[in-house]
Amino acid sequence: MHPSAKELRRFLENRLDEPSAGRIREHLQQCEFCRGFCENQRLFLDSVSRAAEEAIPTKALQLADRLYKDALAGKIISLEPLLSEVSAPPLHLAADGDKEFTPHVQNLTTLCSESPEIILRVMRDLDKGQDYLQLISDNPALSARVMVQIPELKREFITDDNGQATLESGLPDAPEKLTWQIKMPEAVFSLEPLVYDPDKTEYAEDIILETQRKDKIKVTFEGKTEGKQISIRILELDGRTDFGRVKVSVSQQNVSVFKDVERNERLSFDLIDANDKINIRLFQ
Amino acid sequence: MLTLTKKEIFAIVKGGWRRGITTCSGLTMTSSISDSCGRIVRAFLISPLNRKTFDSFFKTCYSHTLGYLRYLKAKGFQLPLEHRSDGDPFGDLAIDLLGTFLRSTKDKPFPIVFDYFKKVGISDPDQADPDDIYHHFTLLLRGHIRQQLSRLKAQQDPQIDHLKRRFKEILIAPRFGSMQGSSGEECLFLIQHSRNLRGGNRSQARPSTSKLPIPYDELLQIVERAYLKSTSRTAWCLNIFELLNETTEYQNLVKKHELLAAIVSVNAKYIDADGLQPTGLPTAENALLMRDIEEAIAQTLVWLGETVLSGFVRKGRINGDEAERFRAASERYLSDLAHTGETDPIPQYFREVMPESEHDRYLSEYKYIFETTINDAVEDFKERLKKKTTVLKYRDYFKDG
Repeated sequence: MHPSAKELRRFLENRLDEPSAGRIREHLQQCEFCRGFCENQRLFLDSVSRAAEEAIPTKALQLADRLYKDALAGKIISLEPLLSEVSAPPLHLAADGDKEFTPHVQNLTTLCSESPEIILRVMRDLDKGQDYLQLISDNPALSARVMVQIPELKREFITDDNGQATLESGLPDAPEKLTWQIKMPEAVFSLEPLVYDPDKTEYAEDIILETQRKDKIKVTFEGKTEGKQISIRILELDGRTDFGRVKVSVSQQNVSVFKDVERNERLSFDLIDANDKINIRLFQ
Repeated sequence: MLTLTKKEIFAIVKGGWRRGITTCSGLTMTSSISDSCGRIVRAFLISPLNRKTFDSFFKTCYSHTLGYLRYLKAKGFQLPLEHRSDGDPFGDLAIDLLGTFLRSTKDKPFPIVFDYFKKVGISDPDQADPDDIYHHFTLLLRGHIRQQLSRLKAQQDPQIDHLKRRFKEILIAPRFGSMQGSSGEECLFLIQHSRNLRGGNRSQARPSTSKLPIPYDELLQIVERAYLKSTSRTAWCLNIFELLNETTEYQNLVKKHELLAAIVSVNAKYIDADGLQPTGLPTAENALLMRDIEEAIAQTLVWLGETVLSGFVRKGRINGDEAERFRAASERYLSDLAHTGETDPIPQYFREVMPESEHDRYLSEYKYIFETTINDAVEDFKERLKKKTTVLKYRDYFKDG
């Protein structure tokens, strides 16, 4: 009887006790199958060890980034209340004087997702009397310009570059009892600064942008005397042209437009700065 | 020692606890690649969308892909490397291969990885042994690489080709005999059994002792049992025929292409360190699948004889004997395709069924007819297979195969 592949691998990695290793050595002397297995496995592991010592090239890191973002595309991430989080009362030092501490913000509830790691804080700005959301993640792709949804209230919010979103109208009591989820964009496009001729006052130019996953949009740049504008039309989503309604978020600096559009419908956006990049995200 | 359980990931989420995730960098054999990388793969399986676990997993995939490509090159395999002045050909090929390995679909992140681990029964990676996870990971990754390389080079898997050739060399030794089976296929037997053959060509087997050919799944069991009691390839081949001879309800000779297919399959299960992908199908389902495949092959051969081949005979392009030989070649081709997912080049099947005197006339007289026959057979076989219920269940599994 041959040793199992697992035993042979453990033997190669010096992870067997001496009597077991001795038995394997004895077997290897007479068995060409197991000898061949060990030789190949050793060659392979040596080769992998050497490869692991090398720095990963930029092209590979770029691929990793794309693959990760593709995996998140269109994904709904459920959030669960973070239990038993007891916050300590604020520390009142002698230097603070007798003046009583009054907080400016109140944490209404905190929710989180394990995979990927995201925390959502539902906050109330007591000075402004306004509620807002704060998404926290060490990966900005998970917190900036993503959609936070409360399905039972049919409410949706797009966060800004800092992961914040303002709630225009308040929330019902006990927001932790609501269903909270994050919807990742189906597709993300980034437009680099426009190159334009300042002498021309009226011009238009079309650009087709496409992701590896075959999401395709047409962006029309229009320079008019009253300002510069882009309009966006969605051509394909995941290779399909029958995609129904799509929510589009266009943002530049901290100004954004968020709108439902149909196929063939155009979404216009007034540029804040022709020298700054524009971020376009499609949600479905 | 690195551990990363659900509980720990949750602690990271809460921000109260942090721990770095090691990569395989700097590991030597003695520090156990399988344990360290197994833990990285396990962390990824538990939490694939965690950026840190994904990045560590990607690095592991990259170093293993690069390492495996160099290993294949060292073993003498031809790789489709593009030598560009600005790049590393192995690194570029590794990037291409990982692009397909870690591709996500609209509904599922990393389906190749997750479907495979589900298929091999690791549904709760938290509880699984990192060593086992690593073993399955390398099987999956290396199998994927070889599948993609075959596709890029538009040819069969070099490992399987190599393995078949080695066994064909053993099976032409004088102690093994060869004869044409009832439908023209090449059958092998042990010379010492030639006086007591239980089937095959009627002139060599007595009708009273004639038995049915052994079904493929039973042959597979015999090949596996023979492997377990052998320590060399020659001994393995001899033991197969000895066990076959002891199985008195069937013929003690075997179709050559079925024998090679079974050897490839058992080799994948026990010996091959290079990641031939095992089917991972439970035995009962495997048997049902085999039955469906055999049925589809039989139906295709009937259809082929009644339509394609009889059409060529009617037009005078081939005679009845040649039609029968082409039918036998089609059976071999389909059987190789179905059982191993790989085939020899088409002219090889022609040479196996036709007399040597006709081999030189392949290009001038037979190429069109023979290749049309094989291609029509493959198309018909695939169509029939698509309608089989057992196969339908695995349609995604077979889609890229």
